[in-house]
Amino acid sequence: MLVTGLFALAILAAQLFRVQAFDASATQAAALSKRSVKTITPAMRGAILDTRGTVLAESVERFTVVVDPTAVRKYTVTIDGARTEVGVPGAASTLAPLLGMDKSSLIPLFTRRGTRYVIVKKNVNPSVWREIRSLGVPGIGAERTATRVYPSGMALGQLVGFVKPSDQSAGGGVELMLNSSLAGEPGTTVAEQARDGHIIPGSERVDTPVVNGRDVRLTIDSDLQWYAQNALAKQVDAVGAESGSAVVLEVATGKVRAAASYPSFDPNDLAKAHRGNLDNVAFNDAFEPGSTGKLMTLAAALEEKAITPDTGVIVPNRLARGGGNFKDNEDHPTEYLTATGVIGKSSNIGTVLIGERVPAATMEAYYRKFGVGTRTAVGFPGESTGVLAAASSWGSQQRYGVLFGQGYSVTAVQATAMYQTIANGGVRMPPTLVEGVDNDSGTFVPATPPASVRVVSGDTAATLSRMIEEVTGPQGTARDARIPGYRVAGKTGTADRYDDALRRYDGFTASFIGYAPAEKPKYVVGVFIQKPTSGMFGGALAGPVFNQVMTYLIERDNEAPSTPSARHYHVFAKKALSDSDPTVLSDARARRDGL
Amino acid sequence: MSPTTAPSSKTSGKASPRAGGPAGAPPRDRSIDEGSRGLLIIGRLESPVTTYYLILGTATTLVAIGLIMVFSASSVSSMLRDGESYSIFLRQALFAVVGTMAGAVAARVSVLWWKRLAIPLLAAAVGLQVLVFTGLGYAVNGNRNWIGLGPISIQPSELAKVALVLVGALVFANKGALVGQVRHAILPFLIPVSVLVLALVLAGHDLGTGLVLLMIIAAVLAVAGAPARLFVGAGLLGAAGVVAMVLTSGNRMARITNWLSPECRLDPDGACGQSVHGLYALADGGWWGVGLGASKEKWSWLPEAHNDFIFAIIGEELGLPGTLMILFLFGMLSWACYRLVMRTQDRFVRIAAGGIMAWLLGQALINIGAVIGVIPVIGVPLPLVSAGGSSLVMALFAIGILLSFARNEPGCRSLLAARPSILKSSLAVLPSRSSQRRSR
Repeated sequence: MLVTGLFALAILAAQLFRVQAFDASATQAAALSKRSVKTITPAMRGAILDTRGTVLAESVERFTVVVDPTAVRKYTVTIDGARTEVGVPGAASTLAPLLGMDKSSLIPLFTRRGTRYVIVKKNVNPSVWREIRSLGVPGIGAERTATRVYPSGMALGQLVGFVKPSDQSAGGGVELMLNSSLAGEPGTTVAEQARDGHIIPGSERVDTPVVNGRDVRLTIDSDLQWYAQNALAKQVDAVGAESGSAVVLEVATGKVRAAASYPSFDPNDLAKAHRGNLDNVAFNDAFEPGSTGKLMTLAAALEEKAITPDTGVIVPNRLARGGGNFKDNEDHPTEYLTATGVIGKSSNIGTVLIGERVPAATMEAYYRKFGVGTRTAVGFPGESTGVLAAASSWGSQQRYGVLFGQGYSVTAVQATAMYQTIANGGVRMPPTLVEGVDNDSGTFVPATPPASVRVVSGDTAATLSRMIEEVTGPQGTARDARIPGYRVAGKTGTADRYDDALRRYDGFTASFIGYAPAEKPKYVVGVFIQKPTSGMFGGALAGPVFNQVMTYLIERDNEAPSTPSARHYHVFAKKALSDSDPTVLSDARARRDGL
Repeated sequence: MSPTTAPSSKTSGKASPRAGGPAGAPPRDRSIDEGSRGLLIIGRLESPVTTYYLILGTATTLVAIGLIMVFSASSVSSMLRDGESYSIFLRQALFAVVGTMAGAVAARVSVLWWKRLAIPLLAAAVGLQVLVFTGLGYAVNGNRNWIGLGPISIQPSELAKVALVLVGALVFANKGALVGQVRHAILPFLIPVSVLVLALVLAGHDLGTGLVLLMIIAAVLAVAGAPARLFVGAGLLGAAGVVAMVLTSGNRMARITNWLSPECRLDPDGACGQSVHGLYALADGGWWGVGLGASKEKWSWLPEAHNDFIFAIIGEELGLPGTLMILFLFGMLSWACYRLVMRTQDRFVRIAAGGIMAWLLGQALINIGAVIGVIPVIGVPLPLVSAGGSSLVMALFAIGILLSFARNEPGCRSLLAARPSILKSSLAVLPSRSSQRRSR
């Protein structure tokens, strides 16, 4: 009997060697895969900050509470010292107040059949989840998620952009533009779990460490943006316009300090956002600039020595060019203006007479140096390049239309950048939106500024700047843009607006771009009102918004009041001008010079 | 198997020089005498107290390992059930104390008294087993073999195992050579006593205990020297009975077919889930184990981890050294029983020791065989190791009976009496002023 018993023991021992040692690896693998759970730890998206570190967008930790209905039945609590199984009703009534849900709506979730995974509630605060977890209800678990919060809401919606609520992936704006820095890499953790879903202590192992997204800092000044957005929104609503944008560039650096766009949306509440309002029109909408473009024409003419500020210009009521008859905004008798007066009073005919003295190809080269026809270095999602055809392909009328801002298109940022060039002594600083991005160790690394472009000489810029001060002068088109005590340089624009949808011109673009104090400007402000229904002139529609934003900046920075300029330019010629005067620009002289 | 060994053991027992040797002879001499029969090292361990200490040592080690492993294996399910991880362990520790006291008392009962107690114990066991079918009884996992008496619950079938062994030994010790006749071999031990006990146990659907009882009955008959043809007949009858039990129960049938089905034996969520997770645990343990307390399968993957499947957790946490140690300890315990059988002149002792050996070893084999997938899962605990009050207390009681038999081996009692008490010998290592002076 002993022999038989020992023989049996020997057989068992042999089987043990097989099971535990020689054939163990396949079983081990099966056991491990049965117990293993892989959890993906979402990367925390980096924050978007403004230039002073104010948070424009950040991710906060949230939890999705889930339940395993097969386990929650065994919920047991100690009542009066006795272990009592209270099951689903007990769990539901305990959790209902914490989750802010009805007991009656929880019970169906806790008793759902045929599944071990039911989502109870999303976006639960960490503190609430900690309370829920401390109850130890079996089967109740949570997955860590993140929710994007935009403290500035509407004011920066179109600039900062949004993430898709479903998966927190970038949907637009800076969120999309800088997604590679912001997103980070999700990590994976492998753990072994008990049958009821508990993670077995000590079994967790990080497979891929999570790499959180990096913070990015924009050039945007959120206070300024908020102010500009409000001023713009009020005016767009007041004049019944389709949309509007306001751009503030820092003169010395080209940094975009504000890029307001209206109508906007609240990225915190994407469900309510209108699909058409998701884009930032300051970057994405290209339009014919109209009179604001005359700045480049005069800059080229000054730089090419075709005019001086006081060059006389005989401006007839009509001017025949390229088979068409050009006219000004209003009929007028023949006027005797200076070059300063031409831009101050925004004369189309005067601008043509000046501009045609510069060859078309040269003029195109100047435009391109001003940044027209090239997408800015910002790289905003959906940003428009604008259109500027080569001079050789300009039509006969387009050659003259281009001179006063027709036949090519720019974005609001590109248009504002023209004036930054003049305000900055003729050096264009390409606009930038990003101050820098944190590196992996969390240290801020400033972005490399793009190379500056010398467009015109400092003297030309200074002269032109003084000339466009007359726009806000007594004879100018932008009385609304005046700021008492400060010299304001700028230019109004009133252009026919080409409607892509209608495939024809419909409505106007009313704009004003300018800066103050003109002798030492820190900021350029561009305001663009698209398709207003009451009024059309840039001075009257965009001027007040410019005024408010510029005044805000001047007051904020405590700018010293302007001193009078040493340059004195006239708007009207001091005496009646003669066609035959070789220094005076006129249709007759143009014909004489074979233009 | 046994019919051949049993008669030979009878003759060798009589012919053994030890049997006639003077009680209390110097142990060293005898070991040299027998040195030629085995390895020298075993020979040098030979002494009148060898059997006694073998039983005591193996049983103590098994219970100690059992307590540690019950604590480890039950900590998670205790936590889930009672909110404290040591509740099952504390109960088991309490039962171990009760069992140790029962064993200590049993070890001091003389053989004569065991003969006197056999019939009353059987009566008590049958009485309690009948109570199972009254309002006091209740079922666990489909087996109606428990009775609840206030806060404690008892498995009377455990007592029935002891009683059956003792009654069988008593009956066949008195019959002497008459056991060679089939009629005497059958009456009264096989019919009606064994049949009655078996019937009562099987009526509660406890096939596992029934199988253990069959092994005890077979061992008792074999050691008593029942004729071989009885075994053939009874064996066939028993086999037919088991087959009938299996075929009449869908549950049992399913267990067998599942055991035979290769798909089922790979599916951790299927009907063989317990078995599969048992094998997972053993494989996880591998050569050296994952370490004490580090089992993963005890995290509610393996049902009855602290009970019928504790061997799997031992394998997972302690590896092959742990599982082989358990096998080795049961082997040693069996060898100790075998020594009792071989060395005694008392037929009662011989038969009872054989019966207890068959019980403990047989139950261990069924349990371990099921865990490692050699036989279907039948559902018996691992004696002395698994959690379970009645099982542990009665197993320790049986160990006490074996110890009482061992104390009656020639020379053992006097040698044990001559030894200083544990207390005295422990204190002896401390320096005492008087002894120091004397040594100078």
